[in-house]
Amino acid sequence: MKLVLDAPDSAFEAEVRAFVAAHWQADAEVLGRTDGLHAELDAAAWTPPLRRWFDALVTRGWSVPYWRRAQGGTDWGPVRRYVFQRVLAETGAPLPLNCSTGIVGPVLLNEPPSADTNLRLEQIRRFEVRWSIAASEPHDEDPLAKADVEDVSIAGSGAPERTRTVAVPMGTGFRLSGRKTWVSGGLHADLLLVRAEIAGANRSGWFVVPANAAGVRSEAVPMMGSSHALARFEFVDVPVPRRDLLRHDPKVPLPEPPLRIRSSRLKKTLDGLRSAADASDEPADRSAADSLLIQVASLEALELRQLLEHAEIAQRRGMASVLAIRGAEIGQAVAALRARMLGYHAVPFPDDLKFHNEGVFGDETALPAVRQALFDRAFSVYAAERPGDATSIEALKDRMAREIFGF
Amino acid sequence: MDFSFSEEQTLLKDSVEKFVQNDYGFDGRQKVVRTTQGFSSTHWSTFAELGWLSVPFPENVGGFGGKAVDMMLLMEQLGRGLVVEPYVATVVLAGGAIRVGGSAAQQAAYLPGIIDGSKQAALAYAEPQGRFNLADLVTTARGDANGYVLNGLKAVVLNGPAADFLVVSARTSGGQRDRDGVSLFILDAKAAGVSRRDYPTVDAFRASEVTLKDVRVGKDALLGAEGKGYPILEQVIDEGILAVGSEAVGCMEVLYKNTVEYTKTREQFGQPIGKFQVLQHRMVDMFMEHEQSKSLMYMAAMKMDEGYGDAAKKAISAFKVQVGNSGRFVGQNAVQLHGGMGMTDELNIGHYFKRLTVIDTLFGNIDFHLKRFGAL
Repeated sequence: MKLVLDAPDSAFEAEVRAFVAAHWQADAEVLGRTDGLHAELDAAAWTPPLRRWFDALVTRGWSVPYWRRAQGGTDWGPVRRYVFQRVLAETGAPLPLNCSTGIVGPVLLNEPPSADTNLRLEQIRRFEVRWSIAASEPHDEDPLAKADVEDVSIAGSGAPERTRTVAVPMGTGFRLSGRKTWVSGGLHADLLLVRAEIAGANRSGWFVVPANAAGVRSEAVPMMGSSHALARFEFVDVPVPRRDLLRHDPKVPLPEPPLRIRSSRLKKTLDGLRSAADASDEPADRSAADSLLIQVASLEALELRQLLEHAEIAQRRGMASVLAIRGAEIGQAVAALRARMLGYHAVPFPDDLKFHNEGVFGDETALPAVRQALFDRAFSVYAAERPGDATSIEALKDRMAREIFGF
Repeated sequence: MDFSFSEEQTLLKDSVEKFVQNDYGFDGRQKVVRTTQGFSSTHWSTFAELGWLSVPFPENVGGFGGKAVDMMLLMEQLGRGLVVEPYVATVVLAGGAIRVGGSAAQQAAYLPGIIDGSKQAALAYAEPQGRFNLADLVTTARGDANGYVLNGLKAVVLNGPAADFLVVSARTSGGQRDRDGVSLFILDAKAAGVSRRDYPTVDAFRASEVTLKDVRVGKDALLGAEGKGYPILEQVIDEGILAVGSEAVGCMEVLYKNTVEYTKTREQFGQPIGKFQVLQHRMVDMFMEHEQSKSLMYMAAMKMDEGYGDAAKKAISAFKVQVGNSGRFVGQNAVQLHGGMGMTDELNIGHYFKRLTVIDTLFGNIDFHLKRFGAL
């Protein structure tokens, strides 16, 4: 048992640091402060600083580091995966792990080879498209979907209410109709992975649907932190060719993407808060930051165990839930402390476009901090175990009680 | 970076685990703690035979040459068994002080007796006015041509009643709370001028108030350099924290697992109470607290094995804070979910709870270590 890196891994760490220093611009760091805001990171991926960063990753062969080398990935072991994430977190550089690279890509990698599949994988690897997953429906038993307002329908869309999304075979393909909600990053998505019942087949399937296809309508679901990436969708007779029905069995859960290390980014934030507390001589803030630093240390240790420990499968599943719940709770506490330490600066919320030319009200760091605190409130209600996924803390605890305790 | 255990470490863990499962039942433990001595000499001999008493000591005195991770694994299992034998007091604290600060002659004189189980020992470091400050000493050691004369009162000397020898902290120079001027001495527990008032502790261990009145020792009783005992003491206490913290992690595992099993069988309103979601979620919280503590236990042990410095001290204090918070949560909820029976001495739950409560206080509580963590 040891924490120190072996010489080859230390050399790898130095290599990653040099790469980040060469390709990540500090002035774009604000865009990297999106721990938890995966969908927003997707949206921001097309701004010039991030575009340059992702292009550098593509050129270096690190844009999909968690895929196998033969698929354009790296074949890194768990230690290098951890080192890569840790360095990026410490430097503020965005991690190339999102819905497209973390979930959709691995699904497509298991599909039979075809020109379409190869093109889509290459687009993901090169960060040329953004995918979202449209699975939840307003009347699902899924507690998350139930969070959506009942019977909300996009005005004028013509989509039937209280109807499950259905794909009706027609000619050489399907016609897809229905409603989806809680589509993370959906507002900026180019392509959707939509789950729908197949009429007459007594089964469901995953369909690839362009977000701008005829008959697809979407609207934002505004979030507390003024995140504009969450969307609900309605589909009215959307034509889908048969080749865009994936082989992936909907009864099989979507692939679990690699663990997203949260502790490094939280620690970086807390170190800053600790320094600020020292400078302002506020013992309560200092004590709160120290308490959270210990919590983050425990989170880091949990993450390392999840990556490196050879444990039983059931236990690892339990650990993933512990990480999701505790990560969300600690993340919320850090964001709340950050906002609290702003004092009155945490009150202005000039987030509307009409204020964009008004300049800063008070502290320039305040608005991102307040937005993060508000978003993390939602994030701890729905603790994501993986990017693009979300489950309420209560549902995760139910699952843990079943899987770990046998209730 | 590696989170796996060596074959030797796995064997050590399995050995203690097997003993706890097969030979250390709760009823037997309760009989032992009601005796005057408060622990079993037979068990202690078994510990010696199995090599557990040698774990932290160097091979040149017959030790196992183990590291912090070895100690962590052993103590976690002892915690699961709620073992009351004075392993921490004798091996980790008193033996540790001699291992860290003792000369080769002192190690050769005292450590073999600990390793073969023939000698009990205690570290007398705390004083009534000192709270958790190891340097806050009014006990004095006045030097003269023949050695030193010690006077003072040492509080909560763990395993004091059974100790054959004591390692005592005393001030040889400086002010009451100065770190410089703290010295450590080894003295016979029955030396002239040493008197004890023995008592049981909340967790059924044994401790003493030890009064030192003109206790004369030779120069060879000095452990380390005169006035330079504080760093030795600090390291040994941090090793003690790793030991009792690991023990606490073992206690927490038993508590949450026993609670889960209890709620599967205890029925109310026509069904097992474990079917109630509010109780299931409480037990999941207990599980998570245990996992967080276990994770920081690993980090603290690995940091200690990297070398004793500020990083290790910080990891130890973080671990102690986590164990204090988690131990309280898990202990209190285990009692709560066991209902009235959890309050009785007939179930083991309350005994684990009491041990966790004492561990929270030992070597500095949550507040003390949060402050230390922030200062490092």
